[in-house]
Amino acid sequence: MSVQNVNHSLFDEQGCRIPFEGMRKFNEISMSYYKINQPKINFEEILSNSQKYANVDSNITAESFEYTCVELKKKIEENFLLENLFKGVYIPFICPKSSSEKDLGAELEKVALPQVASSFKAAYPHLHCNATLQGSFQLSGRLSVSPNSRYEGFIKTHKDKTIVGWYFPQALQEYDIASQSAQMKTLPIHKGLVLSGGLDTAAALVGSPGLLVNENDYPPVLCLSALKHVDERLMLCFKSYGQHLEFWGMSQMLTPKITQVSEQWSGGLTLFAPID
Amino acid sequence: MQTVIPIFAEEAALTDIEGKKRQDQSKKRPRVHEKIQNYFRDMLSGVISPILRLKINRSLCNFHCEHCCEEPYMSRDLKKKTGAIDPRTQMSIDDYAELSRQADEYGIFRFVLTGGEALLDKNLEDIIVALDPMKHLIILDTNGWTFDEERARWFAGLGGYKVQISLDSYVEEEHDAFRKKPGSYKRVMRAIKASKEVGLELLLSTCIVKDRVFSQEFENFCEYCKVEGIPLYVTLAKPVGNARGHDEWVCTKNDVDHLKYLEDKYNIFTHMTPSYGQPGKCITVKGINTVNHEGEIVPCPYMDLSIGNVMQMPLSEILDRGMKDKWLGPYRDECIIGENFDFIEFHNNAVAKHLKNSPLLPVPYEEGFATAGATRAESEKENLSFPTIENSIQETEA
Repeated sequence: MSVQNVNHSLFDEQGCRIPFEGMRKFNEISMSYYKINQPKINFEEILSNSQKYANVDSNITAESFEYTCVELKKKIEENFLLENLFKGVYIPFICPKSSSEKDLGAELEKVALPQVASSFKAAYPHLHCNATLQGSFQLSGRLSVSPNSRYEGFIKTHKDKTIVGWYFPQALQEYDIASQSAQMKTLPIHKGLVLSGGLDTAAALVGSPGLLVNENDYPPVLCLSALKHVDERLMLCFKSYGQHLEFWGMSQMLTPKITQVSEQWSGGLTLFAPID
Repeated sequence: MQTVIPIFAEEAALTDIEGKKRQDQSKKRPRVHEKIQNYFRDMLSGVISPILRLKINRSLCNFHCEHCCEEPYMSRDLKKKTGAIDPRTQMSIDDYAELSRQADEYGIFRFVLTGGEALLDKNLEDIIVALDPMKHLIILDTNGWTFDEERARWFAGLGGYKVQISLDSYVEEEHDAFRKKPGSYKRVMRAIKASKEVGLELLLSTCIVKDRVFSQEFENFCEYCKVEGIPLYVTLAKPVGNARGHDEWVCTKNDVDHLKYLEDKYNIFTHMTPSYGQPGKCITVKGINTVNHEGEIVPCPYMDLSIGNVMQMPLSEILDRGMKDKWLGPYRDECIIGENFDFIEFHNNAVAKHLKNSPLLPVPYEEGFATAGATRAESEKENLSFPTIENSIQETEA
């Protein structure tokens, strides 16, 4: 089967990936029990948070940030296979160019997570933001890019450029971790469209610290499926606990032989471009 | 500006108290310690070690609490409805010993004894011995009415580990009214003192209805527990049992979020609080299961739907079946019987349909979870190789 045979968007009216046969998804048609409210987009505020808490280049202006994002949006909507992506929740983000950390795990652990915590604690000083890994104390030296994720493109650009773009946190909601990666094989190769990982998701949370704060509905667990831990039983995610924000490395095993297909777990897609 | 965010591993995520208790077990109950260590080693692989909560003696109770979810299981209720008590054969002492053996083999290390009021069971001592307090932590759930120092010494002497005492308001009159038992608050205070005297582990449990978490009474209660060094286990009122139809008692996410906020301030927890290095989540099957007096296993203390009868099939198969159920196995944050109205509707409809034909709860597996189509074919598939489908469209650069 080839996606060349598909004559409609690969995403439904909620911006969620329509499953191909064989993919493991909790509900064929989502009940949308776990929700993120689409925030009102404020490029200025997102940029301000990102400059304050993630050391994003202070020369970048809200106008150029917005312009690049809007252009990305226009171009993706020209592709009928991808056009419904923006019918789901979409969050602009800006990710600083790489820190001195060369290792993916070290950068997440020592740079990105503290930045998320700083932004969250500034917005919600009465709430906690913490991190727990089952079975391990550290991420350094233990993460790699997940096969099929196309995340190498993000990492490569991140090495010497600031990145802006859109994070679609619910594009792959209810899929198991393997399916989140595997469905990438069936997406048209679009420069700048990757499975979401740690740095982009963290950047989205730095810019929009209230993303998972929801008084009325449970939000999804944001899987960082473009990253693979050396212990393949682990999945990495951001999740809320009440109104608190937590980072977890938790087991994806339902039983010793079966991996989870959770209604609440959500893989994301990230559309990005470098910005000067 | 950066906030330090140390990454905790599961061992480090243990509270000081959890860590100390685990150390203690290595000396007092080596087999329990071994099972805890094994569980920690294997939990990443999807191994579970749930609490088994045993409802003994046909849930006989000396109280008539307003919110009780057990009333439909009690002989007094069945007598009112049918003129007779539950005709099903209760598990014998030998059956409990066999359950203990199977649980030990599975790696389970905790039993809760409850009812109704477990202390009313004349066979309680034999049951505790059959469960083997050296191989399992035995936790006694009580309303405190008869739990004086003599009873506390008796329980500790048998190898009992912990007492869980119900207190539903920090205001004496409110607790007594809710429990419909004047003097019960004072008995709870006596039971707390007795438990401390004999060195039993102790926790208080309290049931919250919508909005109680925001009350001054609840804050005072939390403060009392903090000062006394007693953990407070908070349960959410569920629209089952006497509370069926009382949707107005059901807690909202707002209530639950506030509880989670208070967890950072006080020593309080719910069944969904992160513990032993596990994230907070619904604990159906993987965290706690109730064993009814005739052997039906219910995957949560507050549901009336069985996942199998341990008198008819092995415990391991029942738990495995439960984990593969769409509602029960996969990760989810919310308490499905306390908060998820889709599940509550499915549950209560299944119970209502069953009660038209039989007054006896829980609803057998075949009439409940099995008929819901809830066991997904997909979840039984082992990890799939993926997919043969390949994108063949070349780059459409933006």
